[in-house]
Amino acid sequence: MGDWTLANLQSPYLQSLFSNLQSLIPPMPPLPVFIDCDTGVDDALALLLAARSPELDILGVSCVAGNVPLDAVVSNTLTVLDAAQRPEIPVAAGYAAPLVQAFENASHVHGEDGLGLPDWPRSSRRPDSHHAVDMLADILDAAAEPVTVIALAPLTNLAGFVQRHHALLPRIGRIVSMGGSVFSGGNMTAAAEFNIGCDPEAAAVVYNSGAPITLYGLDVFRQVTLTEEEVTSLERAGQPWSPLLGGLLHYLQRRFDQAEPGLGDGGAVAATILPGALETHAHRVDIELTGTHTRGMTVVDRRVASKDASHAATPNADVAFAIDARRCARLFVETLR
Amino acid sequence: MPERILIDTDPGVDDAMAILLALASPEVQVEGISVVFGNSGDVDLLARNACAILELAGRTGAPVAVGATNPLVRAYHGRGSMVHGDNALGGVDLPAPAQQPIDRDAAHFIIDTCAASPGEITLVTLGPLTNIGLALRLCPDLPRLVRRLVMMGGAVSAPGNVNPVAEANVHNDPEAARLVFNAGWEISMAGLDVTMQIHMDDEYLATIRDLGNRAGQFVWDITRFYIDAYHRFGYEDMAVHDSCALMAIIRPEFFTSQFVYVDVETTGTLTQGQTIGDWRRQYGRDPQTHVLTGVDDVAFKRLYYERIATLP
Repeated sequence: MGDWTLANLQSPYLQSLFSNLQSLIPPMPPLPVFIDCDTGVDDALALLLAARSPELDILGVSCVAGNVPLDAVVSNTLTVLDAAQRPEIPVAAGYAAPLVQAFENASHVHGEDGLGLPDWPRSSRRPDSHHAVDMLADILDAAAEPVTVIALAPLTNLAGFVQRHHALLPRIGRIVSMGGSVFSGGNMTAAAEFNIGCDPEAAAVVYNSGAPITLYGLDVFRQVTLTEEEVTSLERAGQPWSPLLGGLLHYLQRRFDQAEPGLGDGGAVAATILPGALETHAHRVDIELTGTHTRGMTVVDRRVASKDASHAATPNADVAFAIDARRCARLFVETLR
Repeated sequence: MPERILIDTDPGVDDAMAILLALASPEVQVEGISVVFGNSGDVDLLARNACAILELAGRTGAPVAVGATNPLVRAYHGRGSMVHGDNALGGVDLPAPAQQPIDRDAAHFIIDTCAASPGEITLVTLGPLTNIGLALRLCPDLPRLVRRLVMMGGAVSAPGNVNPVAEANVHNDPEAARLVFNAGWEISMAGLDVTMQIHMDDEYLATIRDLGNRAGQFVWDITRFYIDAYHRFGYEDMAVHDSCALMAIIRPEFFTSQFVYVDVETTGTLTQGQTIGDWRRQYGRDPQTHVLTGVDDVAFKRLYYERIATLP
């Protein structure tokens, strides 16, 4: 009897045995998703990951004013999907401004062009002729099973959907919302995270809609980062999207002066794909709409005592408190290498 | 030299425990007690509690001054009795004290005491910040007259205890708290971030009762109602919020802290009374608050026990 060593495990015979065994496990059917974004450097990372993930079936992508104005968001989104070799994914433009307050973008973070790559050639394609909200309604109406909406932007489009197509709300299986913060403060103001602070009223509409929500906030958002080696391997992978991906990651390294760039919205997509990557707890979440300092804050009721209070006793969100950040980063690298 | 302190308080079960800790600790010298509404709306009752606690500890020298009965701007909601009982001491009757409050209101008493020893008095606040706010309105120079301000109040990262994000002392008078946080002094803040890390259960409290002195019995007696309130709210043991502010003076090495600019939300619908930490320097203001964030729970409780043992 031979030694049971790594050499045996690496033998061609055992490798083929393992792959045959793996093929006996039926693959999970891809998760039907709809992505709402304001592309955006980290939205671009999220779109690349989603577009190249066999685990996801992207039914459509909607655009909204957020990181940059709507026209730039649409152009960037089409450009990223071109690079990902997924031009067939329907893309629609949505709202160009928040529900109530004036539009304030985040071009100081994402560059005036939104990708930090003003010289990158943009897609010549045009978006779908439907408004994003109506495209989402059509997609949900036709969907055979509940759709997961990955919301990476101010919630303006989703609020419009709730207001105009309320009957279709049950077709949304879950909204994974990158937005808000539990105990990490804000990045737009001391208390408000950008996606919520950019359109607090829209966020309130969505959080009051009754749809199941996963709150993917700054507490976990900032934790998913790539190593320098991973950046290099992605940039040199020789895939059609590698030059764009390398450019985005280098922009993030320069902009934030850090060698290990954060994946931002990309982490939210990874956490949607990977079961168990997030540690979540059910809480009541409300959006502060007034407040001198706190307008646009996600108010997460974490009180032990509030279990008895009727309002707090009806949680409306699964709030992410921790993330397996390495696992998410590895998925990103393995998918896009 | 002990640190000379003036305690502004709404006694209150955990206030009483904190006042006893102060009176039993050679590191601090209690120069006086000013009383504010909070755990009860009846400030005369609260002042009587303060006098009775001084007598229980055999320390009747410190003057007691009666202060604000209401927040600066708002109405008092009167919810303190849910946690502290009708007499704010968990229903425990102390002998009627011989000591009477002085004939000077709390705000002036605070200013007088600080002005008499410029730079020497530390203000320790255990209740709503109304008295300090009133003193600041009368004497904007107050921050230059005091040594420092140590506060029990607020919650920067921890959940609140009156709404999802606000702590009771700050929530009881957010406008006064806003004045205090922006008065131009450095603040040490023992808020829910740290106070909820001290867990006193009946087993521990029984060891204090079994000290055999009247202070230990008193601590046991007044915590019966208080710990029951915690149990009702779903906690297994009770927090001793106010003692943290005193212990932070007596044994700063028990604590860790972070220095950050803190402001108070006064207009929010869901967030009134929230203390907001500006961690990313988005207000462009210099940090002014040492937010206590960690504590050695075991060392804290050991010293608390040892100090109560020294009282009558």
